[in-house]
Amino acid sequence: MAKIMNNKGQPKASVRDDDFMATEEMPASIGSQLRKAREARKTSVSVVAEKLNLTKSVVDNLEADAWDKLNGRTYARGYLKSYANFLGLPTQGLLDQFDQAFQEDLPPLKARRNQHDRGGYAQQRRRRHFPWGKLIFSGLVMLAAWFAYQQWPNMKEAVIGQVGLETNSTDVEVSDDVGTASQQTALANTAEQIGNNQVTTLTLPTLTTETAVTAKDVDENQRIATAEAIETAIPVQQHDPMQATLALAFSDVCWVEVKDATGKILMNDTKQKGDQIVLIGKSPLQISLGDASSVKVRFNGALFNTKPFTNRGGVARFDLNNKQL
Amino acid sequence: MFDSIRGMFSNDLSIDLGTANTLIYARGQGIVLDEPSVVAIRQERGPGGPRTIAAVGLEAKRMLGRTPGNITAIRPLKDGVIADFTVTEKMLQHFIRKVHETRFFKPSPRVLICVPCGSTQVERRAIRESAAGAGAREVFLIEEPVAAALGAGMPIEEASGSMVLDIGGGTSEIAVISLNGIVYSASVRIGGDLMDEAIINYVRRNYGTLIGDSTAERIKKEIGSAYPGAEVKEMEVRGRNLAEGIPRSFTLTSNEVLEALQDPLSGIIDAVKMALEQTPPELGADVAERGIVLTGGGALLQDLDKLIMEETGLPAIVAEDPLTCVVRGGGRALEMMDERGSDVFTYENI
Repeated sequence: MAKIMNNKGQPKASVRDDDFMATEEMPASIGSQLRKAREARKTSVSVVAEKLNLTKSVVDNLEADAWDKLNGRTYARGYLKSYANFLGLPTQGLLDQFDQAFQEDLPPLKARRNQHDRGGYAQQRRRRHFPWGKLIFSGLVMLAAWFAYQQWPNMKEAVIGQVGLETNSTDVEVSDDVGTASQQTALANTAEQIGNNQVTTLTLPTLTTETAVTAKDVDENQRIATAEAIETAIPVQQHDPMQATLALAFSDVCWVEVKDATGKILMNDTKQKGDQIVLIGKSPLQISLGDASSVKVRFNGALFNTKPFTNRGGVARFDLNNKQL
Repeated sequence: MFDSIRGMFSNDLSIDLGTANTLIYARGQGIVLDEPSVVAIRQERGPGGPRTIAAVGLEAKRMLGRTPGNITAIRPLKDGVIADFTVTEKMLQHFIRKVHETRFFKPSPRVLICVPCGSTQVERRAIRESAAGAGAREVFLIEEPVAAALGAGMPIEEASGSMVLDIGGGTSEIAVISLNGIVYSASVRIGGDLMDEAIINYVRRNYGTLIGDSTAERIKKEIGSAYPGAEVKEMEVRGRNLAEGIPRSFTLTSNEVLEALQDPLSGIIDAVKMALEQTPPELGADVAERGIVLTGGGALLQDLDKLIMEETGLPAIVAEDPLTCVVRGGGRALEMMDERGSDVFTYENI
């Protein structure tokens, strides 16, 4: 605190002296009051210094209003008080005058107690130190996080919806066309479309899982229709030798795991009685069935006998390759 | 990180946990609480029953010495240290809650507590724990003389010696400080309480009359002085006459009080002299040039500065608003910690 005062005190002291010069008649400066009182008592500076345990220079500085040379405000105020007491002057009046003179450098402590923020120096420091930047930054981060949180499910739905729409449209076409005269060609087209769809999904690996999800979610009737349609439409499929279609029809509860040639798991699930699924993948397919006797397997439209691959527990593991057929 | 964000909305508190008074200074608000360190405890449903807090602070102080059987008004701090841990914790809790509402965006505050420099590790730990138990997020401890010097506005960050004498309720601390650190410090268990006790003993011996603590304190404040003054003040005092057992009133003069206070005062003077003896010469020279600054409630005793001036031959100065010097200094220390990092005052390891 004293440092502040010393830094600021130097230039301000001269300003204050000028003020006193201008209005010298009105309030006599503290120093001159002290000097007058001392001279009236006919005591010398050295006697005063000795009585107050102060050095002569301190007394001189007091009388010259050179407050900045008095080791800081606390000490200056204390010296002034004891000097005024010694001379029998009204202490409070002088101290008030001292406080007023010093207000510009440092607000008096009492005022700072109540209006702490008014202190110029303290406020500057505080303002510089209030972390607005950090506050705004953290606010933005929190806002972004909230926005992302709000948007995330929507985005996911949007992706699913898109893929689902494509599959649905083909399916609808399929079910409409089932049983019509131009069945063969239409179904061929559909199979081709599905095949193409699979190709596109394969090129975008992130979307393939979504396709699988939607494939499961497709309406039962449509799925059966598609399964039959695809089964019958297999010959057309043959133009892509690597593409294999697997149709599974379940007559009891059974777990299934199907891997294609790329090692991608096409299905890993437990199916219920009556479920029918169609899987399209790159041949050869690696298939494991929990209860092979309850599953009817059609590979590229042809019925496949799982018996030779079934062990005593009923589990069947086998590979299916386009070339085998 | 979340804590630091929440911390921006919290007020830091500086607490002067004194034997006589507890003061709390909130950053940016000034002194928000100034109450006696007294807790009134109610014993419910006879001995062995649950004990509850009946009153804390001013309200409890009014009960001091005027309580019925089931209420005891106690001062949980004695000689500047915690005498009753749980009650101190409860009192701190009450005071902190009074000045600092805890909401989501206004979490528990950082608290800086001033401890006597003579206190032991165990006592400091007790203070730290009770503050933490009272809901402080972080507790800093600072030695009382440093806080007092800061609050008095002494230039302690300079490389020159400043001597501060802080006379509290339970202890008096004297320290020579330079470069924000303590060079020499001593703590004597003499304070306002001992002065009150000395007055009570004096009155009993010379008037055969018993007076209470509050009366003794009033006598000290009104006509107590440390140095014979020009005018003799008088005061009418009422107490219970020991021989007759009946309340009587008599007149006490300032000279008698001065006589009564001789013992505690000479204890303080001895401590000051000892400190001056032990101070390194370079700093001693600084102290001799500038003088001793008095803070704490004891500094308000009439002419104490004059007595010290006479006894030591050094200038003695009573700080402005000496009662609140320590707590204001604590607040200033918190600000300095924020400006320059918390290692300005290395009290983390206490």
